[in-house]
Amino acid sequence: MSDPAPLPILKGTLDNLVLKALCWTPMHGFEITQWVEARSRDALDIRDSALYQALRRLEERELVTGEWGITENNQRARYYRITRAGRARLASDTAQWVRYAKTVTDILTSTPGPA
Amino acid sequence: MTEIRPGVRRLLRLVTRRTMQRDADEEIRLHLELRTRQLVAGGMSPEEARAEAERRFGEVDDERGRSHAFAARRERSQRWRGALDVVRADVRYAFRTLRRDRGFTAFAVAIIALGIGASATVFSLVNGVLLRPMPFHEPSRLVWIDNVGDHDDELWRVQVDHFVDLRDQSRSLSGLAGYFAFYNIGDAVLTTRGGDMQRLTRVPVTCNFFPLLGVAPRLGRSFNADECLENSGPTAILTDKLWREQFGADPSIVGRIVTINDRPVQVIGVLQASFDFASVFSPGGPADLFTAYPLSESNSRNGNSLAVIGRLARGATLDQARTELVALGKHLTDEYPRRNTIRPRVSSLDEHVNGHFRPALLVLAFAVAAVMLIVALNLASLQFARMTARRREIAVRLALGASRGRLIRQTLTESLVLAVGGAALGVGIALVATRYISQLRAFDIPLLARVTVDVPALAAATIVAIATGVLVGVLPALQAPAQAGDALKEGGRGATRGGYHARVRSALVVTEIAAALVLLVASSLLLRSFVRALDSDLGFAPAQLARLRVDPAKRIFKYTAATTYYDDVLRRVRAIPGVTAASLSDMLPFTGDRSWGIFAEGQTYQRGQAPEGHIRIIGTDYFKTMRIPMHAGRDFTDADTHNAPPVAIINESMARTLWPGQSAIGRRIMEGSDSVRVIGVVGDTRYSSLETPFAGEVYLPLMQTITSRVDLVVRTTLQLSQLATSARAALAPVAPAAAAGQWTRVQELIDHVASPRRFVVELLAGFAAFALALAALGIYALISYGVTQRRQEIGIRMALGASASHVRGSIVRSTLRLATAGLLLGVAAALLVVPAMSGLLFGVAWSDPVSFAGAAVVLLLVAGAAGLLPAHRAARVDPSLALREG
Repeated sequence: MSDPAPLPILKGTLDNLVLKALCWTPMHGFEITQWVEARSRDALDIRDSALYQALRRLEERELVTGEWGITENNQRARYYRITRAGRARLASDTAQWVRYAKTVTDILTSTPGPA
Repeated sequence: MTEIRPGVRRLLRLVTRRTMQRDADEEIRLHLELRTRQLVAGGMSPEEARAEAERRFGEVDDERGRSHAFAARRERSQRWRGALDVVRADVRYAFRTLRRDRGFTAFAVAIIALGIGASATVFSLVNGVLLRPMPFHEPSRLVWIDNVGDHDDELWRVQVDHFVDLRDQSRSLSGLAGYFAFYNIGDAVLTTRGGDMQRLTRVPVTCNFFPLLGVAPRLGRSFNADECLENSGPTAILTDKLWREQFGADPSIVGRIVTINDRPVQVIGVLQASFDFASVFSPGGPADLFTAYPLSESNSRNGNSLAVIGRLARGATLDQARTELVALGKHLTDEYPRRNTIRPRVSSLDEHVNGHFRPALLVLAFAVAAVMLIVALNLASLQFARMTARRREIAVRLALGASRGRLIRQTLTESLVLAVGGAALGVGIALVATRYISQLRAFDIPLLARVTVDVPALAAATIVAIATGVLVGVLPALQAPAQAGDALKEGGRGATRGGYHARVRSALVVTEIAAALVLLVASSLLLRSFVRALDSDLGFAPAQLARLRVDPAKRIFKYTAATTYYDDVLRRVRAIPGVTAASLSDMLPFTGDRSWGIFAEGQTYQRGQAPEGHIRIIGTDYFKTMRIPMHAGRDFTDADTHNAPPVAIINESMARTLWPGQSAIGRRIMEGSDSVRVIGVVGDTRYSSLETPFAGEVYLPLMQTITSRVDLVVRTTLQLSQLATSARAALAPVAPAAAAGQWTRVQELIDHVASPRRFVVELLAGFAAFALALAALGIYALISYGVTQRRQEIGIRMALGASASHVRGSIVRSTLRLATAGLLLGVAAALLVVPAMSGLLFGVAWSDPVSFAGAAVVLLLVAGAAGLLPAHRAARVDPSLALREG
């Protein structure tokens, strides 16, 4: 299967991807990029700056908190941690996304016929 | 730890403000570095990798800018949250300390609540009665027009012809309207559908009365020109209250015919509920319906019958109207020598309605300010004492790093918490008090009924509360020690600054005493005026007098029928056991008044110089019933009928005016064109108010003068209810309408005229008592605190041989020193303030020594008592125990 062109990301979904990434462990910005890229297998076209914007947004809404820490290579980095509110938001957004995607998929893939 | 945390955070904030932006840059730099390294590891050259990293990142500079903005935003929000945390911690701390000091808290909240309740109530009164415009269209353009009598202090009403001429000729007034000033309370008898009789008060008004005021009926319309002509079919406009109470708010009332005084009257309109004629023009009195008063020839013959209001024309000023009407009056008086004189005096309607009550309300407002001052001083003094007692705690907290500003803020928070709590309770008190006062019908005060606690009143209360809080909080907080070291060194004793604190607290208490003294003097002056007014010789004995309206149900035009009716009523009532005397009068004291020109026969008087006689039309035994002394001659008898020669009885003042130094008996007076023989001279009576001097009076027998309005007056030892039961049975056969009526005590009439005075006296006395209690409390707290502080010193003195009575004496002496200082300051303040209230006084001068001395004595006694308790405690100090405690 040849690589198709990367998909432009739908508005708002990046926030959820970042929250999902932070579900396991606090990460700094670059780690989050790595995590998303690894899982999307580069199918999503995400500007790195967009990721940082998402982080600011989430931090402002208190869905994540950021604090300074030290990387394995002894570098100062800002680590982000998901908050309780962030987990709740991720859960509800995920459920909604799944229902939405399923409904749309069902319609788009059904055989045409009268309702 | 809650106390240090905010301080640490503040320190951090200084760092973060600068570093946050650096951090944002750092984050982007790290990302680019890590990405570059990853790409290099994948095989790119470092330059390529760097370029690719930047490409993947997007607009680096934009992102940097956004990060900076975000950092600044976050920093701001953190600062707010930090401030909020501090406030929250302060409030929590305040609640904690206040809980610990329950007694103080309860007391403080209670006095603030009372103070604010009182001020909000009085503010509502002042606002409702004085400040809020009257419920008319452009009330500031309405004027009241008096007709100045022969003497400048006599204010008469206006004759119809003059009214018409003034209306037509005035250019400064766009319109003139009036009402018949001598309408009688309860002289309209409404026959309800059930056939019951209901006594109502009807006010005849000129055609344009409502349009001139700018009052539109809620239903129907105002009078039209035809309805204001004489002999037109009678029409009426009802008040909202009457419409609701008697006609069940019937929406189809307009056009209905109702029966009033046995005549059909067509209802043409219903007024708005907001229009309250009585509360503006006749406070405390009723007004149920309005009929048209024709500006006719025959009504002009009624003499000065119209109470006149006017509306200033566009662009005209009150002064212009004043000047113009004076000139017009002069002209009219000269042009029509056969008419009464007219000397118009124009004043604003607001001044006319509220003018005489304004000084009283201002005195009350002043009193409230004084009370609030005392409340605040008292609280400040108490806070001072608490701060001193908490010196150790404060020292420790300073040592632990709390700043002085922080401590001041906490004390302020504590005071504000108290003030807000007190204010909440105070508003409740104000709501209840205002409601209660506005519903008091007993008080003859204009517009009182519409007084409510409204937004301005509540705003005022809130402002007062916050001001109190700040004042009370800042004063004692400023004494917080500047440095931890000082405070710790002072230890628990507070020796170094103790003298200073005592002086400050003494000054606060002295000011309190002074303010209390001013209030005491003012209320004692008013109280003495009130007593003087009540003591004023009425000329009759109101105790045990009861009255009942006994107008004949149908208009009686024949003397014989009238005589029979009144004879029947009197005979039957006099036969009731327990009734010692009974008579009839068309106008009892304090129910109204009117005067006519009375001439001694054969005497000629200049126009406008004729003596005035106040006319009372009475039945037999009137003087015996009222206990008015008979000085000469005889009373009316049953023989003085309309067939007998006309007779009159005059009072001493009248006799003195007409025939100074001579006997009046057998002489003749001219009453209109009739010559009447004087058969008796009686004592003077008070008629329109307790403060009005005696004037000439002429009594005419009811049997020779037909009148439609008659009061039965009875002297009896019976209870009102017993009397009513007996009288109902006795009168039912001859006077069914009257029998069902309401008996009232004559004393109520006197209470009613005394009510404005009583209103002010009661409120002011209440404030003075409150102020006195607070001042006493302030003294007690100060002295008591001093005794506690000086236990050891007292112990040493006693050990050295001072006797208990000596110790007691020295404490009481220091209390009295304090009281005397307050007294002197208070007298000085009173001498400045009290002359402003001379207008409210009656029978006492503002410099009345009794009031001043009385207030001083009361204050000294209360102060002495307040100091006595701690003095006793001091005298019981056991030297050995006190010394060991140290």
